[in-house]
Amino acid sequence: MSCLAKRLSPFLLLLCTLGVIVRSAALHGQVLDPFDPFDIPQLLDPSQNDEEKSPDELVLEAAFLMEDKRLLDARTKLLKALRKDPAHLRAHLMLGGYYLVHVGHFRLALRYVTRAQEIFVEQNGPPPYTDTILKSEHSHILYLLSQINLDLDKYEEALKLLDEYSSWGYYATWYPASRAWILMKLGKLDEAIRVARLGLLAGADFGRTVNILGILLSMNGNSKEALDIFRQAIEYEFSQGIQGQPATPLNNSGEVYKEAFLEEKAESSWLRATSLPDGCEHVLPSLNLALLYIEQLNLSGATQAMNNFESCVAQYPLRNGEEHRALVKLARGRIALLSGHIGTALDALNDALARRQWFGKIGTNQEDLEAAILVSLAQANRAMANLLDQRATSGPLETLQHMLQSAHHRLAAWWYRRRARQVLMGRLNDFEDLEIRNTDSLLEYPTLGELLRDIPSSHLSQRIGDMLIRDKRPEAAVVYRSYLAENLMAGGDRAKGIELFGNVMASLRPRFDDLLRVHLLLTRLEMLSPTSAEYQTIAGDIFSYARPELRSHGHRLPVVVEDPSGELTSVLARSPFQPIDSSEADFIIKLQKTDDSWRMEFSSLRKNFATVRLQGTDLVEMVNKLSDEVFQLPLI
Amino acid sequence: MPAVSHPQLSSPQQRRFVVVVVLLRCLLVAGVLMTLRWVINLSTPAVLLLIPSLLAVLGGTRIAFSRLRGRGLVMLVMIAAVAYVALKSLLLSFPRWIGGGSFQLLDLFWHLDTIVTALIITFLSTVLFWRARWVATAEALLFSAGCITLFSTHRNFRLDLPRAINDISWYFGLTPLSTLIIFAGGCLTILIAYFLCASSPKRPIARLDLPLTIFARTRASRLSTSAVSAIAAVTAVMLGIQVYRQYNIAAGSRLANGVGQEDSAGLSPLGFHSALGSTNQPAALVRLEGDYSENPFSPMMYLREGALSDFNGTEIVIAKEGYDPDVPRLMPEQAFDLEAPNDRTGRTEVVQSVYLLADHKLAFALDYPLRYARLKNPNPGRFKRAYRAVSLAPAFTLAALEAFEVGDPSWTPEVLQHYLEPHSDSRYSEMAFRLTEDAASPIAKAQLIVEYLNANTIYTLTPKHEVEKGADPVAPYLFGDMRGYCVHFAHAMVYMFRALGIPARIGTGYLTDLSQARDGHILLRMSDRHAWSEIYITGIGWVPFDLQPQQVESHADTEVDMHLLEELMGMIDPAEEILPRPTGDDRESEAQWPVPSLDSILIVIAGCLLVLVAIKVWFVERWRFASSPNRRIRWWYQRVTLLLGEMGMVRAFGETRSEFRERISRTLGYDPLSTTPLFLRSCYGRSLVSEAESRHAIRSDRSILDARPRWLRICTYLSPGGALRVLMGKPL
Repeated sequence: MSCLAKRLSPFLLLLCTLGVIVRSAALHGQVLDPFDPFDIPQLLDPSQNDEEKSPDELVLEAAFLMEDKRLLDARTKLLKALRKDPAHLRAHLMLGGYYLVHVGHFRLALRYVTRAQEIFVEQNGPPPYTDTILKSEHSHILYLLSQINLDLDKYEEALKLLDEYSSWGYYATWYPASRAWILMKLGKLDEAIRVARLGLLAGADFGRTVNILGILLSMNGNSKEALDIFRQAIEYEFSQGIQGQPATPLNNSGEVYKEAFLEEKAESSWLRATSLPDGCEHVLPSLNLALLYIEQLNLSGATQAMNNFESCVAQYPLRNGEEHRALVKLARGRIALLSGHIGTALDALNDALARRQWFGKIGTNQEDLEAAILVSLAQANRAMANLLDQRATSGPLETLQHMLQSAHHRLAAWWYRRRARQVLMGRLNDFEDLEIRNTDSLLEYPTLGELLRDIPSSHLSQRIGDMLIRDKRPEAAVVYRSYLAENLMAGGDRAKGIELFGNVMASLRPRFDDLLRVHLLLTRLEMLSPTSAEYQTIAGDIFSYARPELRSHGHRLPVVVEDPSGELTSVLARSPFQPIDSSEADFIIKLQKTDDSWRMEFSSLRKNFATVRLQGTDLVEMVNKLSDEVFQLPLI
Repeated sequence: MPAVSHPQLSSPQQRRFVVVVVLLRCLLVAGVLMTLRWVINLSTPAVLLLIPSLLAVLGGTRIAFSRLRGRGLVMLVMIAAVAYVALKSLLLSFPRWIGGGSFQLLDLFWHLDTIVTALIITFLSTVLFWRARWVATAEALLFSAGCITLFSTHRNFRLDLPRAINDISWYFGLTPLSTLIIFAGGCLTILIAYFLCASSPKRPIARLDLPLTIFARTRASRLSTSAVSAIAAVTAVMLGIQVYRQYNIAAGSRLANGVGQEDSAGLSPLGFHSALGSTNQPAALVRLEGDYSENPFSPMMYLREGALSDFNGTEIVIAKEGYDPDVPRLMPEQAFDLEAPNDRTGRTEVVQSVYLLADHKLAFALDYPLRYARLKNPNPGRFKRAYRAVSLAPAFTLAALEAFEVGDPSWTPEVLQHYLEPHSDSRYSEMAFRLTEDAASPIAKAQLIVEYLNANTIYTLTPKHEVEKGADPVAPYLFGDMRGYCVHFAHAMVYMFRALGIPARIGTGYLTDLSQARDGHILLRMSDRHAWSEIYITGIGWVPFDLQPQQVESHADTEVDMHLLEELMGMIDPAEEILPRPTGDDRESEAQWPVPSLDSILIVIAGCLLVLVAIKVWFVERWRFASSPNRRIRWWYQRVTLLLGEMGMVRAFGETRSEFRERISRTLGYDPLSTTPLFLRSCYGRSLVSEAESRHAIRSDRSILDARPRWLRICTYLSPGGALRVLMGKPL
């Protein structure tokens, strides 16, 4: 957006200034020197009432106000100019540009620029034009229209406009990159690569064209060349000084690194991108960084990434972040889910599903986002059902209420999983996103196995087998095999599943595969009895990695209960704690009765967990509070 | 179609009836499936879902009237289901047969699962419908439960949920409440129509060993069932009116965040009981006509509508004329023009265009408004009114306020006393002095109070304080559980400020979050209505001092509907026009031609029905007031024929009264017209009917008539149809 703004603003200002000066000179019969800066203030007398000013004067004032970042004042001047002269070409064009660049209200932008095009043809007749200024203005209108259509996800329309642009013999350095991008959105990768390469040879805008070429090559599976291209793009953009926009190629190179499972390099790229002025306002580097941290179970890092992004966007007063709210809510929802704040996660994810997102300027699309949100919503509903099942209650009515709510959430979880699968298999080319592609998919790959459990094992084995032959990335193969292991353990050949599980676990990388590790351990836990030694070991391991996940998946933490009164055991029956008779348990709950209250203490022999102490009179309330204290991480 | 050979389908009339019921059932099934598809976002194509289900209705009807018994039916369904599952499993077990690792077939099977499930449920329910009479009742109950579930999202006054309600309301220019009532009315009508059809005496039933209808014993006619439906409809309408009124009163007066629109001196628009009713209903679109970067409350913005400064011993109310002159208290269509002051310390001129989306008694704007001018309504289908306000808006910095004094030196002692009038409860002043011991300046004191309340107050929409009439409604908050909402906070602060000698009052209007604005366009909702305290600062004027409690128990905060905001932004034409001031004639002409509201139309209909019922009751009960036995027996006879008429049993053309009596006795199995000979004697006989004869005959008739079910007696008694017959001159 800011790139477009930088390109548009000087052009419009110059155009308006020259136009108004020449026209005013003609109107007033004065001879004005266009190179004399002191003539302009005479036209812009602030004490003069706007009603007395001509439309041209108002438009000129608006151009200066826009430069001065007084955008609402500028918009009002332009509207006043239109009130005086409803067929004012420049006012329409500037309003179109304003809504496109500063507000992001693309339909309104389209209305103004379309009207500008009509006025232009009324005033100058249909193209072709011989006059250079007319050609320039006409090409500019077509450019704006194509950009707006791209933002409105009307890719065919945008391509048609670019075709018209070139059919009149117009050319600009942005053209190859724009055309290649639209072709990419239409799925014509080979043609897009050809256009970008030819553009580079023909002297197209180097930064933009190289950037899109890198994306195209990465999508085509040519990661090595893509990285090389992005390196050139980054160097070029940095060489442009403050005019450069290195955040975009940095983000893209990060995505390629991520796809190659070079997480450290990806993290470094995104961290650099988000630290740059042109990167902090773009959602993608921050989102990518947050999703990367989520996969590593670094939830505070993920939260920080989203916080930084939202703080940065808050600088822009006219934009309320609506255009990226769905993506932000998705990330926030996933963070809340893994932190054990299930209610918050459900709210955020439901909101993400309800929000509209424009995809013209980002690599992903509606179906990808919808599928990703649906998968996360299914997980959140499943977690909520488990939470309700493990909530101590004070009476049968409350128990019944929890049971009904839990059934509702289980039904919702099943339904969202079903919808997600339908989107992925029906609308997304036979689940093409199963192949790990971080450039255009927003799926959470480590936990995707949950979605694949209901697929017949024979079917999934066949598909995974095909993918293992096709996809040569060893890290990706581990993930694919984990899906099969989970599927087999959940309902197929369990022995084979456990064997595969062992193999996969041995291949996991520390830190980078933490979420996958936890997810697999949780699947394994489902097959074990809570009193078994293996269950206790695995539950303890999961507790160390991501303790909220234990409760979210309906598992119970084995604890030794020291309760002389014997009242706690019955309350713990509906809680995420499993009382066991063992002298070697890692977790202990102690209950003591003082005068008129209870004192409860939860302690762990594991590192990095502080003892939780509670005091109260109602045991049910205390157990629920203890559950929240133990199985929730703070949301920053 | 059904087999003609079935004994229940022997007559063409019955076959026609079956066709009608099948059609109605198809409609119902289609409606339910489409609603389900929309509500749970079923991705299966509508055609694929509808065609098998509608075929299942036809097939189910055909099977129901066949010789297939229950066991056979179960077998049939099970064989079909097992065959489907077997085929599916077979195909999925051998992935290589169906294109290797492709998931396309899985996707297809998931859709097929949905279709087959819908088909089986429709088929079974249709067969059961024709074979067991209770199925219609069960379906009606299920339908009602579905409607209740669908509309249950509107609990807690969230009338704008689901979003479709809002969209439809906007499309037709209705309020969400009206849309809801129309939807509920539609559902009720379908339910009644279906239920009546399903339980009609003429409805064939495929099982011969079951009694035919719920009216089997009395054989009530179509007219009597229509009487039931008319009464049900009247009841529903009356209930609807009541609900509508209650919601309107709630939403429009005191319950929109506890801040209503009362504008009379001596009264208050604020409610202390509850702030429920804070709906997401759009109230207005405000467009800032310029940057307002000096806003000291950014990102929040206060739009003042009214002010309350008169303490009446219990609460703070609107002061009489002469006080609060900065608040114009004008209706939105009234123009207003003040001369701009020369001294603009801490103020800047801000122009706003306001497009009202809900009715407002008073115009609102940033304080202080200098001018209001009517704007041409850019879209009367969407906006109620539009006006432009020019305000001298706050442009000071909050940090700089501490150096200022409070009060206006130009005030008379009377005015100063008005704004300083303290609460009689000394606890307010004690608390105020205790909290502000360390502060020197009035502003610092005020800030200390705000800080204390911010830290200790719990925001809740339902404080549930029990306050006796005439008692102080703020004390339970401030000296009690510290739970409350803006109305409590504003009052408490004003009482404490005044106790410290700081002139204070309450401002009412809207508080909006500019971070949810777009291009300077702000969509105000009812949940943005707010009350806050204000302090008069020398040289600057009234300045809001508001709370932001750190603890929130319940909150009505929702995000702005950006789809709606974008839609509204696109409706405001750049060529907007300022209209001249309205003349008195305009107002009168508006007043002379009021558009009848839905409310008033429903009241008129209900009134007519009530009159008819009253006439009917008179004709039924007048025999009690007869002056002679002759007249009594005549009126009694007419009473019985009137009630029989409600059951569709009227004397045919050319039929004598004796023949009519015989027919009725045959049909009903008892003789409700045993008074016929006495009636004929009273009309045409030479001897009069004696007192004993009349009483005896009436008593025996009554015992027969009282044997009917109570509900049928009530329905025939209250049905207005008989009154219409009498009024139309039909002979009894």
